[in-house]
Amino acid sequence: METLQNLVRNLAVVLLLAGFLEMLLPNSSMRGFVKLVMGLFVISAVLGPVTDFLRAPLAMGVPAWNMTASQDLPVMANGQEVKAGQNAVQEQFRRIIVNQVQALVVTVKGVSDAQVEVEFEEGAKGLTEQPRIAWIRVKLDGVRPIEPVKIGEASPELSARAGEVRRQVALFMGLPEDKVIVDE
Amino acid sequence: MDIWQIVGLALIVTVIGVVLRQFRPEIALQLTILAGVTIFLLILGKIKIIIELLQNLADQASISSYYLLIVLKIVGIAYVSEFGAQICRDAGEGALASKVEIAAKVTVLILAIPIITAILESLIRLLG
Amino acid sequence: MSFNIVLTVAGIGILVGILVMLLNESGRKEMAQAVTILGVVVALYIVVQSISDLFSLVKSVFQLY
Repeated sequence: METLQNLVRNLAVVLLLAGFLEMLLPNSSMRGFVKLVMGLFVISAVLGPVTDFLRAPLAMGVPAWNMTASQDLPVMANGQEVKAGQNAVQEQFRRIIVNQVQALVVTVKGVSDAQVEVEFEEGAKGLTEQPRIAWIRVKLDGVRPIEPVKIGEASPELSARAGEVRRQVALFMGLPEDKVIVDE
Repeated sequence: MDIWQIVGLALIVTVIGVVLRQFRPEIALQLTILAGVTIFLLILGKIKIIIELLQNLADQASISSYYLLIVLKIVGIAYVSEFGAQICRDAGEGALASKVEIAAKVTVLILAIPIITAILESLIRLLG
Repeated sequence: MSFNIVLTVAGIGILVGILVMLLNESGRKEMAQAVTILGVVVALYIVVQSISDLFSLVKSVFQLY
């Protein structure tokens, strides 16, 4: 019952947000994109409780709700508790980004699996503020394709697929390429 | 109320622009751009208040701010590209204006792709 | 206040227009061209600065990095 109550309340808030954000748009040609993202949000919001109900263990790549809501935290009187809330939010961001990067990397040809690490920069203040990504390290699994050996090359260069992974991750996460480190 | 300032500025710039356009059209264009920037700067303070309200709302409802941030970025890109495209169109460069709009749409779509892949991934895992 | 910048550019425009007219009347065409270009560059300098202000503000408001 409580889950249903939460679900309805949160869906109401999401729809309200979607309405506000659509009104904020300068022209109507971007309306479809906002609707798309909000629709995905609603899908994710409905899927979460449903999978809970079915007791299907499903790690949602992009959860719709914060696991530790700010009102569930104790009264934020001292800095330590604020820090605890921030750490929880950061952990969640980290999980979201790791899942996304993994989903992206697996689509690159010749990559079967990958481990992803994300490090954030210091200095995100609020609970809602997204921390900025300091770097992303991707470790590719699977057999490295054999490349023709070129005599006279001093530094080991990235293989073609590593370069591709790096380019894609940088493009989709909106990062400069030197913040994406690819190991093989 | 800023609205009086904004309308007054727009009217004054329009009058000066009509006069200036007869003999110096290039500087008249720059005058229009500058007036647009000024009005935009005045509005942005208010937009910031609205966005803070939305973020507070989302925070209280324990909504993951990831989605909100993506949509905010979409709105920001829409504002900036609309600004640039309309100035281009004003100066008679309609083709350039539509290129700016296309670029904005592609950028927005690229922002949305990570969410789409992640949700598809979890759906497939759920069904498969 | 940023209204001053708008009025500055309007002033530059009118000044350049009058100067170019005077120079054309007195038969110095190439000098008139130079004054035109100078006026455009000075105005562009002001415009680019204010656009960069605008963009950094938009970035901070919409959290676009």
